Amino acid sequence: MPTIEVSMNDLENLIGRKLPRDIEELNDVLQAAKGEAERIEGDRLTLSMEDKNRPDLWSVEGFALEMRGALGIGKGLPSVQMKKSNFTVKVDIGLRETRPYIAAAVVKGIKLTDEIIRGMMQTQDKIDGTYGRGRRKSSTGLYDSSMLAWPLSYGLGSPHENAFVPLGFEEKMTPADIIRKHPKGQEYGSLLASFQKWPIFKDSEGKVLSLPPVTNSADLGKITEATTDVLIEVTGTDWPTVSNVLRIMTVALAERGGQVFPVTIEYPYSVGGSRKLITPDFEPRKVKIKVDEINRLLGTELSGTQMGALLSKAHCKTRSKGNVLNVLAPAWRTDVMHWADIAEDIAIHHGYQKFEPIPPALPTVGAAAPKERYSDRVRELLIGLKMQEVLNFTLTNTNDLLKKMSMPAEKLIEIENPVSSEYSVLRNWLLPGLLRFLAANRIHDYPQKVFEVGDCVVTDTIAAERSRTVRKAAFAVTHDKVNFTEMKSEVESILRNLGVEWSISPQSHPSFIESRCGEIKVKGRAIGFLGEIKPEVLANWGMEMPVIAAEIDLETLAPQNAEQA
Amino acid sequence: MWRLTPEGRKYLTEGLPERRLIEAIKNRPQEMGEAAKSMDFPIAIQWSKKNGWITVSGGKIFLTDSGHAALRERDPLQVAMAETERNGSTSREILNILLERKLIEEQKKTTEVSEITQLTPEIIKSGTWKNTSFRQYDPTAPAPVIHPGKKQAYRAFLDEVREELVALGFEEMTGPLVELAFYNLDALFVPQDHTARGMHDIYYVKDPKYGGIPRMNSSFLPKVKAAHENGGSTGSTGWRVPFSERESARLLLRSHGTSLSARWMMKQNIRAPGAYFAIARTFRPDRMDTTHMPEFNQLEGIVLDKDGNFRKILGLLSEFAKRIAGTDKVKFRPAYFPFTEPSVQGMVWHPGIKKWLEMLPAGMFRPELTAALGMKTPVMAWGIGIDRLFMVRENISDIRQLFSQDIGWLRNREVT
Repeated sequence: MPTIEVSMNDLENLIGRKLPRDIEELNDVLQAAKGEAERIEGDRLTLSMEDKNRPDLWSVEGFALEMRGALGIGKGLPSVQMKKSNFTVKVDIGLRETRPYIAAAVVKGIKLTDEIIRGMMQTQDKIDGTYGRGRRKSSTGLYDSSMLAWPLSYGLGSPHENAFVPLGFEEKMTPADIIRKHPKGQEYGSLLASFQKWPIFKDSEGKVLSLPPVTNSADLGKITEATTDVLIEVTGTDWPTVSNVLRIMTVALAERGGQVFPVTIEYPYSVGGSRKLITPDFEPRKVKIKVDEINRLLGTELSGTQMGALLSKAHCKTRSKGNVLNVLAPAWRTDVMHWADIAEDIAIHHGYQKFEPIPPALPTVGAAAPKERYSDRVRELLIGLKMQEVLNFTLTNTNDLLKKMSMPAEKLIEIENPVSSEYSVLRNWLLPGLLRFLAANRIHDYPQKVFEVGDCVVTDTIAAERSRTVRKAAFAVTHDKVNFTEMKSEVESILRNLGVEWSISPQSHPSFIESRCGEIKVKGRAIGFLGEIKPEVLANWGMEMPVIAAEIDLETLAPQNAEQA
Repeated sequence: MWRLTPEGRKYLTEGLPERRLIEAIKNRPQEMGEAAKSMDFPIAIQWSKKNGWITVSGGKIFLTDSGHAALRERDPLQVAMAETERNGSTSREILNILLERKLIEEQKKTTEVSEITQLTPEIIKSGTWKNTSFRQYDPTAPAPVIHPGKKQAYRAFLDEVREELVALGFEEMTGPLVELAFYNLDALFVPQDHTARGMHDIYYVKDPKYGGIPRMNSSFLPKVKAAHENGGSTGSTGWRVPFSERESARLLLRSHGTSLSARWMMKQNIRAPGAYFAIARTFRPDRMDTTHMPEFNQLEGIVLDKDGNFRKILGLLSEFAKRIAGTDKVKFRPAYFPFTEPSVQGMVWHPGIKKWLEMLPAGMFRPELTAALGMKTPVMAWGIGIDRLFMVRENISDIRQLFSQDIGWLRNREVT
């Protein structure tokens, strides 16, 4: 979830109310906007935004706006006053195939401080990264609008022309150089790499503003405390996202006292049914809700009027018509997909603590899964044989599963993006985990008798998942006088108690001493093996004590339990 | 128990015949006729020869090198007879020789026992215990440590959790660890371009990358696709994100137990009332440290109830807090999960660290989700990080302890 760092004083000034300094108490307040204070250090508050679908809350200004509503300080649908303007951006037709959308606004007369600028940068970064999907769906640029010669052009250019000085550098670079050398170029270059011509944002004098979505010009694409008029520009591949990010950024600056001037975008192709769009647009979102449906979902008995009052705290405007409530939500609330989303707003502003929990009285009959019941029976028997249960990861590595066990290469389920090579494949048998365990416990008293009942994953070309999850049981015994007969007695005692008829025949297994390994068969099907581990394998694990071990496939042993969905 | 025969006892005091023979010829060879005068001569000559101590040549008996060597040591049979006289037994190999020579016999009657060490069936049957005293034991003397077979401490907790859920009326779900994106994400209304589907949040299978949607569930695919793209039949706008059916077949390691709930909702006979749970092993690409593991357990569940509502979810969470975390102190906060609306986070008070901990995430499944899966009633859902709950309950600060590789810790952990 996105995390932003804000100034407590700034937040309090924006909300218009003092906030508690105790983190628990603070969170009781901030929960109404799904904000969670992670820490407070002096004036710095680290705020984590729970709602991944509410980018309008990822700025201190947007968060404060939401809190004002929740606290009843400034309720109702916020209106963003827009001045008349003739700012225009012309779009090149070639962009239709690369990065088709742009939206822009100018906010004038703001008094920017270092704190505000830092906040804007932070918000831009979080929104572009998460909501903008790593700048693909949308990316934002801020410019000092007083330095620009209008109209602006959003066009295409060769990677080798339009050299400019990018942010953080001092010499001119072509877009191709920027992709190679600039840190942002290296990070986002892949968004452009497949195209022959790249987007370029210029003013009417041909000065470059930015290379969207990579970096701005160091001359024009930078705002400072001296800036009073800001151009906000958003480009991207998804129009609803692009237009919404512009709304969010514009409202944030308007909250700082700026006056909003719209920008006309002249498209050579149709966007949302039109070629000439005036951005930003703050047309509220309309949702129809039914009072009885909401009450049924929440378990409440609220009237339409009460719901309207609660929704006003969420900056929604409502008109009641019998059972129906027509809701107007702020334009930036793109998270409102269904009336259930409005229902949650009602619940939040009603206060979760006001809901009286209804204790469960389930009319159903509970039951453990047959597979788990069977596993439990096996576990009980193993415990009866004085074995200590252990719990290992299903994630492991080929070194443990194959090499240390002297096993030949084998197809395993491997992870494409492991974090560590130690945990890069799923185990297909349990015994390596038990040997790893015993090897780690050489300083403890012997005898050591251990077992695990757990899931393994084996490849299966026919299954939908191209693999099968298989429940297995394995156990291992180590002390200075272990012998094959001891293990055979234990294996047979389990099989006898499980009521199966079995046979044990000689088997050659790479991990076991030749002639001291047996295959266990039930009804002609191999379900496992037992034997004495090869000294070579023990040496691989750094063990000096002999080990006898067995592994049984419970899935095959009890096929009636293989009832996965 | 063994004891010496009269012959054995005689030899114990006089020495074995063959031994006496070689003692006699220690300094000079002896005439056969002379030697034959001694009482046990046949035995002496037989065993001396067998042992390779003597040779007979020209009617005279000569001592060999091994005979000389034997004279330098105590006779092992003699030693063994002494031991048998003392302890009632001796080493297995020598015991057999002594038996063969009828120098010892099994001690059948215990009439001669003066003090009982090991109480035996013979003693009890024969009644000798009536006239005999018991050797005195010291109950304060140290005894060797032994370890019982027992459940792994964390597994034992999971067993308890299962019992609690079953007692509440929940039926258990199980399913595969390698999962299709369809069940793990798409059916749960997680948009296909969501950041939570990235390589940082989900483990993907390397080869093969794609599986197939099982035919029995393929009819849900177009409905799920519609829900994502335009909300389907629910009146929702949906995510307006293009939906790739190919992406649905992507293979991954399940990242939450909710994949099981998705599978269950697609089952043929499922309908309200229904209550299902799973203790699911799940996977996320986290580096291992004291609070993170690449795999962990989730307590997942759903309740299908025609009157299901938000207050009933809070009731369920309160019940779980009581039964599993052992606390009545719960409070609820707004939360966000892509597949629930409204969503809630249950906070549990931890008296030890004096903090509210986020423990019980839950919500009503979104209508887009339930409608696509053919649910006719509301579905209440929750997925609890059961590992953390156990840590809090047992005061464990390092999550790796749950999969402890230390047999000492496991053996010594109290059964609570």
